[in-house]
Amino acid sequence: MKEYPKKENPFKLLGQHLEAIGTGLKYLVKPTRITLMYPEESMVLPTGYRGMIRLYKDVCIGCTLCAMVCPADAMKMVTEEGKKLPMINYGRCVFCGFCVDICPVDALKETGVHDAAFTNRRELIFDPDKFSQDFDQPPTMDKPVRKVRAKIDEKKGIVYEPDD
Amino acid sequence: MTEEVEKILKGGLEVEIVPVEGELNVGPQHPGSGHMRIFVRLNGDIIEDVDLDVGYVHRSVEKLSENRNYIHLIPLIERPAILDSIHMNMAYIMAVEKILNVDVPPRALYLRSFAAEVNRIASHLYGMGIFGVFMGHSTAFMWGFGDREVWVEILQALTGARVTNSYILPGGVRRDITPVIMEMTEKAIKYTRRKLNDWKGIFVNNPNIKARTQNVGVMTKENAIRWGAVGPNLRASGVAFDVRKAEPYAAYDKLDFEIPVYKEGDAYARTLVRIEEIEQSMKMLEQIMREIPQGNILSDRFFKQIPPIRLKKWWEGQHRIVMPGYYASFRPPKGEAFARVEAGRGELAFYVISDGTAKPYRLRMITPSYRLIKVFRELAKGSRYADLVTIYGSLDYFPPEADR
Ligand code: SF4
Ligand code: SF4
Repeated sequence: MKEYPKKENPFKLLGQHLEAIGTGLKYLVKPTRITLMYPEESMVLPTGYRGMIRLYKDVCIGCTLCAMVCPADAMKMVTEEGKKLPMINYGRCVFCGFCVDICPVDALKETGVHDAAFTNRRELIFDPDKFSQDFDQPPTMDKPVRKVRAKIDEKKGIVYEPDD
Repeated sequence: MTEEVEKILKGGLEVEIVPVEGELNVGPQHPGSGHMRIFVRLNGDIIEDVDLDVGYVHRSVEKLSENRNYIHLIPLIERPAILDSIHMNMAYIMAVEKILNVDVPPRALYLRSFAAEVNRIASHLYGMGIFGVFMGHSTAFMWGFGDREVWVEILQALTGARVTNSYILPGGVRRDITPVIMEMTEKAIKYTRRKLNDWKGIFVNNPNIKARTQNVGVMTKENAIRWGAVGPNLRASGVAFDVRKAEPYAAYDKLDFEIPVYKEGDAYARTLVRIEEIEQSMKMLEQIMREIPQGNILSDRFFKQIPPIRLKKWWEGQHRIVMPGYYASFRPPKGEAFARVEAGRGELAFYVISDGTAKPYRLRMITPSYRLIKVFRELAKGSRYADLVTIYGSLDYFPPEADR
């Protein structure tokens, strides 16, 4: 069991005050900022990131496992031209990726897209047709978006490197 | 010249008398790290009593659990403590595994410890950031959240999500560690070690912080035990209790680590315990990366059910486990199980009763913050109002975790 030192002498305390100010000054001169200037800069997410999901309609065998495992009831089965297909409600999905992991024929895939905005709730529901298209919502800006990747750095914590 | 200034100049300063007793509401709009109302009864600036009005972020985890399949509960039980979700996930799965009676391969156990320690570091840094900003030290706030991000990146690379990881499944874990993640972790450890020195310079050894935390919210050993304190708060009061040592789970029986214990029981000691726990966690991560055994990450019983084509693609190709259909609605045998882990904030316990159906008959979740409600209330009594935030922050109390 440890105890911390008590009754420190005033000189040591003064030293510690100076140390605190010194540490602050060090970061004032050499800041280690990790702010990402979104949307001018946008992060490319690592493979395996559990972003929005895409369906491959022709691969799906309509086994309903994805709808069964979905913890948020986001995935529902619908019948389209006699074939059972899943549809997803992004208003409910928690991006656990269970549906992707359980699909026996890999008809579902995680994409690296996670930033999307919708103006009404109905748009959050993707029917099988919309669900089986690549979905992305690039920001509408005049300037091109700089795609960056986050990397861990020994000195700075996180640095963003241009993605190429 | 106005009358008042004249009076002051004549030396006849009159002060408006503040009522001696009064009541004050702190919150419920986010008094700290979540929604809660702290109802403070004051006498002058001494706190006579506080009443914690909790429940603003109640998610009804226990009741919902009776209506959902076992697998559906994983994301739900993580929600109360999103920044400590690996631990929530692990304790629940450990209870389910006891009912299912499955063995977990050693590599998966190491990976559980790995994810848990990364999560513990992130959780402690978060807690220190919140603690700092409570006392007006906004540098600590920025640093805590920034430095935590490094560890969150590792969790993201390992599990695919930043905070709600849903990483642990009955029988194992979902993804394997890769050399890239190990390299990231090594860099993160180097960075955090260096940064902790600066943390000490600007925060821990800062005489301003010491003046605000030493001898504030002192919890004696006896009180800590009587009030049911857990985790770093308990260890800062001189009780050497840690579930990782007392009842080793995951790979903790094979890891060398010390549990920091301090005698004083004040807000400063609690901060020191957290700082040292971060150091211990990093030591454990290094050991895990050195000693992690090769092998499978999912129990054979479930592994064999994965279709061979998928195994080839995911396990051999990407070191990921995919789920056999079994998981969608498995029915454990009748039985009950209790499991506990040392979460970031202390002992976390799950009690699960199975009646043989696909849904638990009853699930009880006892979180560390839940047990801090009593501690917080008792500690605040008799202290100065200005110390309320210090006590709150130093306990690392997290309202959503308490409300469940
Ligand atoms: S990611 Fe999870 S919540 Fe979303 S649809 Fe799939 S199973 Fe449901
Ligand atoms: S699990 Fe796969 S194959 Fe089965 S219904 Fe869902 S998407 Fe189709």
